[in-house]
Amino acid sequence: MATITTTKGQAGLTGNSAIAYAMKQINPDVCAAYPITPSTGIVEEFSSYVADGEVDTEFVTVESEHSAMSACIGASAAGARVMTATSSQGLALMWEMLYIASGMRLPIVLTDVNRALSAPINIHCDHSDSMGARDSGWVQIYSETVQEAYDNLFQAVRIAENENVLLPVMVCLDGFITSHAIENISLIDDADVKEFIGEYKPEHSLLDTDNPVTYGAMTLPDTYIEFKHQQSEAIVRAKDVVSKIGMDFGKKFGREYGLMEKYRLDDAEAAIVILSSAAGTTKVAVDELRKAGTNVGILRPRLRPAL
Amino acid sequence: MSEKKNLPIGGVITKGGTAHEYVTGGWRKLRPVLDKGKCTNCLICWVMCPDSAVIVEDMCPDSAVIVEDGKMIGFDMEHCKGCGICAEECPDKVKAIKMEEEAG
Ligand code: SF4
Ligand code: SF4
Repeated sequence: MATITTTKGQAGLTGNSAIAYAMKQINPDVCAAYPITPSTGIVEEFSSYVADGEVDTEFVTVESEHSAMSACIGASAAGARVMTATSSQGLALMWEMLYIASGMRLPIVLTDVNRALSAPINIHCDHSDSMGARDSGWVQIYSETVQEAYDNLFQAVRIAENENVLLPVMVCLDGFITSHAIENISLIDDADVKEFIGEYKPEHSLLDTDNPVTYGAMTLPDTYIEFKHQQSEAIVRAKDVVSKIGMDFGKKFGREYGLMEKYRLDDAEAAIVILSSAAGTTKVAVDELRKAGTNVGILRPRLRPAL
Repeated sequence: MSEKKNLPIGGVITKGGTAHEYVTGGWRKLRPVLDKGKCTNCLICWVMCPDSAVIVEDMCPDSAVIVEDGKMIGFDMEHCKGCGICAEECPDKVKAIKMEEEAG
């Protein structure tokens, strides 16, 4: 099993190990996943936590990502706290089910380790996988570093389950650059994680036979638009919820997150808008350019879709 | 939490048995007609009716075949969509259901 050793609360972890560890701390009721490069490590390590009895999670091994998301949807409709992870073609294969998860307003949390879509086949990072899902009704949060990816996962649970949102949330981090690079990060105590995310109290459960409900019933044009409107309003409200929870996270753990990060932006004459890990390299370039007398800055959005 | 027009979020139907409120009788081109004299009350039609349009009293309320005291008594024409499965499945020796053209 994966043993994590910390020195003064710090541990050197890859992005994948950090996400698997965060999932262990969250201890979801159900995880259904089909591993794919470069997110394989998440599913592998998390399944070790399951096998070693370190979590109570029901781990569902499936034959495809389409089935992974289908199982997540069923479990979430049954009232479970549900998590999964994927990348690239895996997310693409989930596409049909992504809309069902968001349409049914199921607060599933998915980690997408960003990887380019084929062809030509490429296991490394670009954002074409999650950008294809940008308008699927999921809230997407992009992470620059391993630390941020780890921190984002806890916030994602709160955002998804917030009664003003109730939408699935995708935490994105860059394939290999973040998923496989080891970074020294601060870990949060299990008890603090538990307190921060709280207990999930679903409004409905398919397993509650005394209060039977139907998910996924047919709607015709007179009501379909109303449900889509509700979803769109929830995405708009997610903006405030993401900032509120990012601030709350900062108060509790000292690392505050906003809707976007501004780096040397206030007096900048030119700026670059950039997502995720590339912002790290760009910060170095900005510092160099500033030393050479050019006033440049960075705007790094964390939340998609942009509102 | 519900919003505009009080529609439950996510299109969740928050109570059971509402399929009964969805009336499918308007789809019907052929209507099942029962010959009570021939019927042996085996209830195969009640089991097979996909819309539960065969009514059996004290049994599944969603059936469109109507049965009272364990006896087949007719069809729930609000839900029967005229598929003819009951007529097809009624045993060969009996054939107590005939499908007839709906008027108009
Ligand atoms: S015609 Fe079809 S729907 Fe109507 S009672 Fe027979 S089996 Fe049921
Ligand atoms: S299947 Fe035929 S014999 Fe049996 S109950 Fe129905 S109508 Fe009567």
